Amino acid sequence: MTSRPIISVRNLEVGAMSRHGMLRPLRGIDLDLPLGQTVGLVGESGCGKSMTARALLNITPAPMRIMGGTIILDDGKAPPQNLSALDPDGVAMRAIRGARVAMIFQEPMTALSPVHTIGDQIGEMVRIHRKLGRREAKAHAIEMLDMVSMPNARQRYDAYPFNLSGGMRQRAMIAMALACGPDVLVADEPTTALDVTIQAQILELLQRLQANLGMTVLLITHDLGVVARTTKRVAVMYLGEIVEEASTIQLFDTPLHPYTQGLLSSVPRLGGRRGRREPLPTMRGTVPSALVELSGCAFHPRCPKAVGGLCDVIKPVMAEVNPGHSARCLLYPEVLVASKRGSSVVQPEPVS
Amino acid sequence: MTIETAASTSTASTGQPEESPLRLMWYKFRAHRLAVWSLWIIVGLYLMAIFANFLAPFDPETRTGLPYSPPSWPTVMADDGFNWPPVVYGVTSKLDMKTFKRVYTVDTTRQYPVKLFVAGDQQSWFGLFASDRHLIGVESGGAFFLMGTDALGRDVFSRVIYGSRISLSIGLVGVSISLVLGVILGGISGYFGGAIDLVVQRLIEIIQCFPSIPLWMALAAALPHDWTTVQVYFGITVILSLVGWTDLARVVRGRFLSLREEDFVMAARLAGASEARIIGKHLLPSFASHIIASVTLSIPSMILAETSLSFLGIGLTPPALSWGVLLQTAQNVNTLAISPWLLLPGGMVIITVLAFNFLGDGLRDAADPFAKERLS
Amino acid sequence: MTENLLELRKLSKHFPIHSGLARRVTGEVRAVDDVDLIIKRGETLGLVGESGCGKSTTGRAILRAIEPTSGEILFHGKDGTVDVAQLGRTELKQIRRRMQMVFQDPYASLNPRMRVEEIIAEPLICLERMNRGDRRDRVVELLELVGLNSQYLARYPHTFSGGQRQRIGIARALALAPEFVVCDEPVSALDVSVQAQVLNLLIELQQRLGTTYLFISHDLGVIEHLCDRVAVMYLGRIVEVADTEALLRTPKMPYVEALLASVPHADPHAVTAHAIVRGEIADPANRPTGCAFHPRCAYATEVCRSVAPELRNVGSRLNPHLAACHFSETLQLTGVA
Repeated sequence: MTSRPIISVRNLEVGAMSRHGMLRPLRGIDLDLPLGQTVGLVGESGCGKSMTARALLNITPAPMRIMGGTIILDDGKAPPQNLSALDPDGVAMRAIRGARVAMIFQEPMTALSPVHTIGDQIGEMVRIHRKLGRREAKAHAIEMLDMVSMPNARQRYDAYPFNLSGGMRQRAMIAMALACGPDVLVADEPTTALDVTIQAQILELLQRLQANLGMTVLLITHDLGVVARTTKRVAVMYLGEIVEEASTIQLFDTPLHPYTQGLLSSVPRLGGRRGRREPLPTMRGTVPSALVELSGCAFHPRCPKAVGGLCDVIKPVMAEVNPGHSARCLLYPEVLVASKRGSSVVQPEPVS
Repeated sequence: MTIETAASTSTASTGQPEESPLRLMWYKFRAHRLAVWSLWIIVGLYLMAIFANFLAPFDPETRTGLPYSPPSWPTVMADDGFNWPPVVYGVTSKLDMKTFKRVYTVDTTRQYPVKLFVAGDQQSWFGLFASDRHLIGVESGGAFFLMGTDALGRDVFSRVIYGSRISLSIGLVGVSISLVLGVILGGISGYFGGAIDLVVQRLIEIIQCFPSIPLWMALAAALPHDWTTVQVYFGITVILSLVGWTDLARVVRGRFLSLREEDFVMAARLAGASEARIIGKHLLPSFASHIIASVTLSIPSMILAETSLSFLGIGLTPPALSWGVLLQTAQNVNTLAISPWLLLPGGMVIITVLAFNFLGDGLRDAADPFAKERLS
Repeated sequence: MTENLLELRKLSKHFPIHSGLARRVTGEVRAVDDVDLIIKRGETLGLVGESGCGKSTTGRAILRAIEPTSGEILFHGKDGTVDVAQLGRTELKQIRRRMQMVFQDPYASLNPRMRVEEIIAEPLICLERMNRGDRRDRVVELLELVGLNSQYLARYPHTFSGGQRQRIGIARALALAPEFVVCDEPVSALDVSVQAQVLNLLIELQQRLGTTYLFISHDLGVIEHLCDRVAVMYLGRIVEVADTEALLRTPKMPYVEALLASVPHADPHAVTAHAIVRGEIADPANRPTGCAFHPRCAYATEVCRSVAPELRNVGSRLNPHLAACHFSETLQLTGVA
């Protein structure tokens, strides 16, 4: 049972020319955000997950820009439109940002102005997008603060960000993001900078809000525990591409891509069934820089299962291996067939 | 356990060039084109100051008998068409009895070709040996005044070139003294903190609160009148640096404060490093580049300070020669209206100050090579 | 040799708060407040807590990288027992050979203007009399010990990845074969896949060299994997100390229960526990009265508001399980399954 995707990303590419060569942090992302669900985007640093978040809101940091692909927003409030084609500073994009697609960040201080009260900043959202007057904006802001369970919402309206603790700032930022009732929320590592107990509170808040408001959430994180607890579907990124995409349960129970397998097995998990102090399985090498252009599969230099002559030659595409579970690995016949269709070079059949 | 191979740590994997921090700073500096240009300009200026005796067409005190002559440039277009080498014409002067202004008429019959290594006024190479050769000029009698002449008929261009010796060197000498004072006091202040820091900071604030020109005037007036030019020169530099060390001290203190808390300093302490080693090996190299940038930015203010003092007549006085002294004559409005070329030494000051500022900017940007690089 | 390598007795570190024009002392932040802790020889003791709990400060105070305000730090080293807190300058320098630290930030803990060889050799230069050749040999030995190629000697830190820099930091810490190493969140700043490499390295080095670790972290998964015993801190005080198994399965203090419940399990089938603790972590400058955790505790009663609980043994004499809660014996707290 699949819901209609509210955001459909196809072949998204983000890059820029630099002194050292062409940098491509995103190399063709395909992603669907089903209505009303939380989708996780997992990966390590440098994989491009933050860049994906920014591309969705068309705020890629200069000189990075969207070089190709489409981001179709279909939330019923307007005819479906392609966000990647819009001018990032244009009226159309600014009307969408905040009102229909919103974002929360890892570090709330980057989103909150230190010289304005949080009530002011939340109110600004509705004053701009919904053209409300000052008094209605204030009432709405207090309502939002209540919704995010900010203690003493009425007094906190007049607080400045530096008066608040980390968890409260995060709540303020969430209130600001949701002030105009967007249907899509992009959360870029929203709890990474928080303490564990506060993190639990914020995650529980996000889940509650999603259930009550029917929002669609894209949750970006490197923490597999957060993914397991809060998401329904998850995509794994490596070097600017999605390498595996599945429901959360499928991904944790039967990871298909060697990178995902390596990731899951190398993280010491609380309550895990491994013996204490036994060596953790590790992956060879480190993530290459975004300048590198490898032939074949991007992961092959580090992959314990790489097949010479295959993985370093053919570029794998994403293909569905099990129902609802896709991967980008040539070891699976479905992927091999789909990839060979894309490449014109004839390759010898791998030994099964 | 896997042994890391070099391949996995090549440029491709970390994206960082395998050079020393010094090289990285050089690359960053080179990218700042204005700063690189300024560097060449400054090098040129200092070369000009060093070899002033050879580069100046005239001796700065020679009176050519043509006072207040406007700038006369050699031309390649003479009566008989294209001329190489370029020539200057002879000039005769007459006093107009009605306006009492000097009138210069160009006498095209007398042509003086511009020559290299021409024989001119006597000059001496650093007091070691005498010569009469100049790099460029004309035979005596020709009006080769690239910046005109002053009230006594002396070639302003030559005077500017000789003047650069004092104007440019005062910056260096003054800044060296400031550097020593600033690093010591700022370092002590930042490193030890506490009461020492409090005292030094208040001292800096008090000094900086004084309006500079009256302070300089007071100090300059305290210099004995019978001092020679050289003594006055050093007296001025000491005065300027006693006031100018404060900015540098602040920068040094700031860097010390931020570096003191760095993990690698704590690691050095835990490794048993002595205080001297921590300061010498860990702290100093880290802020040396910032200091160089600050010092470079302090030089222009020294130059401007000397220029201002001499302009006001309380710094160097004739026969000492600096750009500020040259500008003394520009105080007279009459002079300015009639002979505006006498302001050209001011133009040299502007060029020099701008060049140092751009150079300092470039150095400051390059000082921290590990800051996030902006993609261009 | 005694079983205990290190004994902390009433270790405290208070930071004065200055305010006003004359910067009078108006209060203090009790970053570390009367900490009693025992670290056994050869073990890995985990020190866990959230921000403001004082775990990093404790680690630094033990090494006197930060000066403690009061208390004793008894080190039962190979050369006898000393109170590190009382040592003068020269003796302190000597004790540095026995106690070292691995830092959290691989980018800030190595001097960017020194080459790798110099960085690792620093303890050897300062505390050991060696000629250059011997020193270089020892540095090469250390590099190989941490799994790095000896051709990295002449390179600068910025040419390495985070994981490799951390290895360099570990090599430096082990240069003089210390008996005790404080690992202050050594893997928190690293990528997930690199964390495993560094953790494996730390375990292997301990097996080879017999070093005792104080492992400071906020990541309970890593703590469970690495540590023999765990101590939990809250607002400058130790609130529970026990064997790792015991602490995780049967916590005796509500804060620890809340901590364990808050950590998201990397298992989508796990049922989310209900003990989401409410409220914010208290301000260390403004400690609540009585038990510091009482404003957030689901089980708090009147006595918790007024009387601060002592850290006492609620386990057996053979398997001590220390907890600072008035109701440790009666509460049925849930741990990790």
